[in-house]
Amino acid sequence: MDKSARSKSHQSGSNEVHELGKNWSKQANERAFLLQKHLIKWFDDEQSGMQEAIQQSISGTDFSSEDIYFQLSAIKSRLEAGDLVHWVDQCTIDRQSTDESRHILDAQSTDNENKEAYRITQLRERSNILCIHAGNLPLVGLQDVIAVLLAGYCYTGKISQKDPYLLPSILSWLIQYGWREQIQHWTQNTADIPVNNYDEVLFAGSESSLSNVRKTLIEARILDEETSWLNRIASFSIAYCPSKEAVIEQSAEFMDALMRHGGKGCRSVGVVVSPVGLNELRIPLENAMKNVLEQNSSLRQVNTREQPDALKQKNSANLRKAKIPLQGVNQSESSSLTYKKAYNIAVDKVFVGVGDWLIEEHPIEYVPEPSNNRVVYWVRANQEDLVNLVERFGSALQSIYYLGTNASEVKKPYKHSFDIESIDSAQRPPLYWKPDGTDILRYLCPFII
Amino acid sequence: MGINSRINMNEPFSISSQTFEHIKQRMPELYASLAEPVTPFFLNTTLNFEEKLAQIFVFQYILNPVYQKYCTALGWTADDYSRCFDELPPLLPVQAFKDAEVWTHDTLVGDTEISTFLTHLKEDAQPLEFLSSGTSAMQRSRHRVLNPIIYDASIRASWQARFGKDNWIIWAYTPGYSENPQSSLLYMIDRLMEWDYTQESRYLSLEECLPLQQLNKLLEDGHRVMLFGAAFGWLDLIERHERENEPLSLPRKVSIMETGGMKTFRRSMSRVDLYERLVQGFNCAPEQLHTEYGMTECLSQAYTSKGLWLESPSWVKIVVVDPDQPNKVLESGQEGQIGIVDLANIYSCSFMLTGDRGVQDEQGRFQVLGRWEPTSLRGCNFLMEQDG
Repeated sequence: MDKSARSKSHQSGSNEVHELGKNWSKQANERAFLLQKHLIKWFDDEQSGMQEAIQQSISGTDFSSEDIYFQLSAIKSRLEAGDLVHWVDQCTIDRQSTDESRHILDAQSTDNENKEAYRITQLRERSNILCIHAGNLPLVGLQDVIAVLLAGYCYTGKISQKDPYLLPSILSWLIQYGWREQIQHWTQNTADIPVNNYDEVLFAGSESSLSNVRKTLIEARILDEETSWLNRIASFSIAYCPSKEAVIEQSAEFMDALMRHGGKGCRSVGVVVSPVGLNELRIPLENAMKNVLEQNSSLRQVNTREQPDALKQKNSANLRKAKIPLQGVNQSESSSLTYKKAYNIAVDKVFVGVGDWLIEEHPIEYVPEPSNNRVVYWVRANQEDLVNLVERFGSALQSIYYLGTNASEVKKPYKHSFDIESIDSAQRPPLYWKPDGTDILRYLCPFII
Repeated sequence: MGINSRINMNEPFSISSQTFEHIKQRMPELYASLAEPVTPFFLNTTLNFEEKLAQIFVFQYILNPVYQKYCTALGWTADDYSRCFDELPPLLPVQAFKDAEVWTHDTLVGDTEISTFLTHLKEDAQPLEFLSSGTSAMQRSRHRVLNPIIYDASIRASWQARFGKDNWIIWAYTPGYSENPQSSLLYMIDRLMEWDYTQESRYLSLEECLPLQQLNKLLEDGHRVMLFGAAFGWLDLIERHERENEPLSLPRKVSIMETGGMKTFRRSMSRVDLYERLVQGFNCAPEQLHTEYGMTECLSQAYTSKGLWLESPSWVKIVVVDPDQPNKVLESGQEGQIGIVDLANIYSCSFMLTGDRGVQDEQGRFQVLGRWEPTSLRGCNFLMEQDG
């Protein structure tokens, strides 16, 4: 569609969009309440299929049972805290007035605004959304499903083959509770994705893989060139650690942020910035890392010995206290770390190495973007330098965490989308957290902004 | 006063006198060559490649503290002379040239300080120091060449191994060495120019078209001419000729040497595409195009022998290794990280793991496929899975 046609379309759609926003709030609140209730039921109801999905995931995926239980526990607690209703409320409260959305549709809008406004007019009730889910963490795609359902749109999912049991179990359960109209289809196979005139694609992955995925779907005529994509590509987070004491006092949360899920996931800490040098924290960090690995080892032994029935009985307890797992490292990863350690010794780089984990100190000028899950970079720098680092890492950076009691002490970096989060939320984010700084619900429903 | 006294060395480090005596007995050729070098050790013809490699390994293990620590951490010792015949000694990542001083240092044997055997050099011989390209904000590799004679010998021998002993006139479409004394590439070009007896070799202006008339005159006089330049420099030159409506048609007796620089701030293209563009732009035959593969950290060069395949000189061994286990050499045809054993690097480190991705054929020739980018393991990395 050319620019003038778009502009015309925006003006005529302005009032309609305004009305849409108003109606949406009321309906979304009802959806949030129901969805929250139904999802909690999936956790609590013995017949929900959750137990079976957990067992299948333990035996049939690369996830450790500890990671699965931890993730489920984190999601459940956030549901019980009312995150879904809160998410919708947040969007509604923040909505200033319809004038703002009308502004977007003004004829004098810039080209970018016009494009956005065009997207708004295309997103209507019952829009079709295709979600291409990542599978690096258990249920990592659930947030996208929730956002689509809260938005009131129709969901189609390409389920990751790395996490093929948990999400389908939830989707099947929700269908029984009346979500059939919105949950249209899910599949593990690209070829089985139905052609459905999709309005939007939600994609989590690397920038380099995006073009291949897009090409495959266009060639298969599942999508056309015009379909818009939301691509989340952030790969790691930063923790700011103001003092030695903060590390000691919050070592459990800190280790969780570093080591949970084997360091995978964009919310895991890949870089630590601190005015304290790594050498000064060598002993407390080594102890904390050893602690994690030792504790896990005992838990793992229990789990692997247990029969499914016994495990089933203990699921609720496991959901409450899942420890950080050891497993997940393969032989080549381990070998690669042996060479990294040798290299650090050779060039006198300060590092702390425990098991298959490394924390290396790098000068701020040359600290690279982290690429290995089990290698964390330590940068001796102050808060002002943190701002520069955030700018340098750009879109690869997901979140900034703070160790200590007062997160607001950290000077907020220039980029508005970054909230300074407490370190304990790293692996237990609210369900409305913003991957790559984007609130998915607001993105899907631009008329409420 | 020997050269060592002018080099700011770190504190000597210790090895046992027993180990050192053992080394002297087991590698007399290297010991003799270093003490009184008639021929650089890497060109020694009484030993085969593996024997020289083993001696250099021991020498560098003792005198290069960075390499020693790397090897020790991986379970290698100075006594592993024989082991070198069965497997490659540890390949040190070239990143080390950015993070540390990767050259040989004086060593304490008991109470005796053992020099790095450079006392035979002339009083006025100065070590060279090269930096990899980059801006001041970037971390750059630093390679101190303690004995420039060895670098010169390697440049000449690498060149002659590929292009013979005939005289070549070198025209370089590059900045001059005198303004860039930290560039090992420009040092090499400068030496090649120096060895041209006609003295017709020179640096060309980067702002002008190729002086075709002068070029033709040299050819008429029966000279061989090699044009040196970076990939993007050649593309600039072609564009300049196109802009100024001066079509290029390179005489068949002129050769072009492309020295890298495939990826610049303004464009990135595959080597195949580059070659096509150069052949078309210069209106020349593919055989006229050559590529040089070298790096600041390495004193020897490899040149293309035919097409895209690079061939290294006899004292250099190229391997393609598994990036996660660099001691594992991959079979020909498999892509991996390029490792180099360069016996000319005697006073730094001969065993290097580059940051380049490559592949090797059955004859040991290799291609550089780009930079080795570690697979992004972090984040929600999604690769389109194989269905079914």
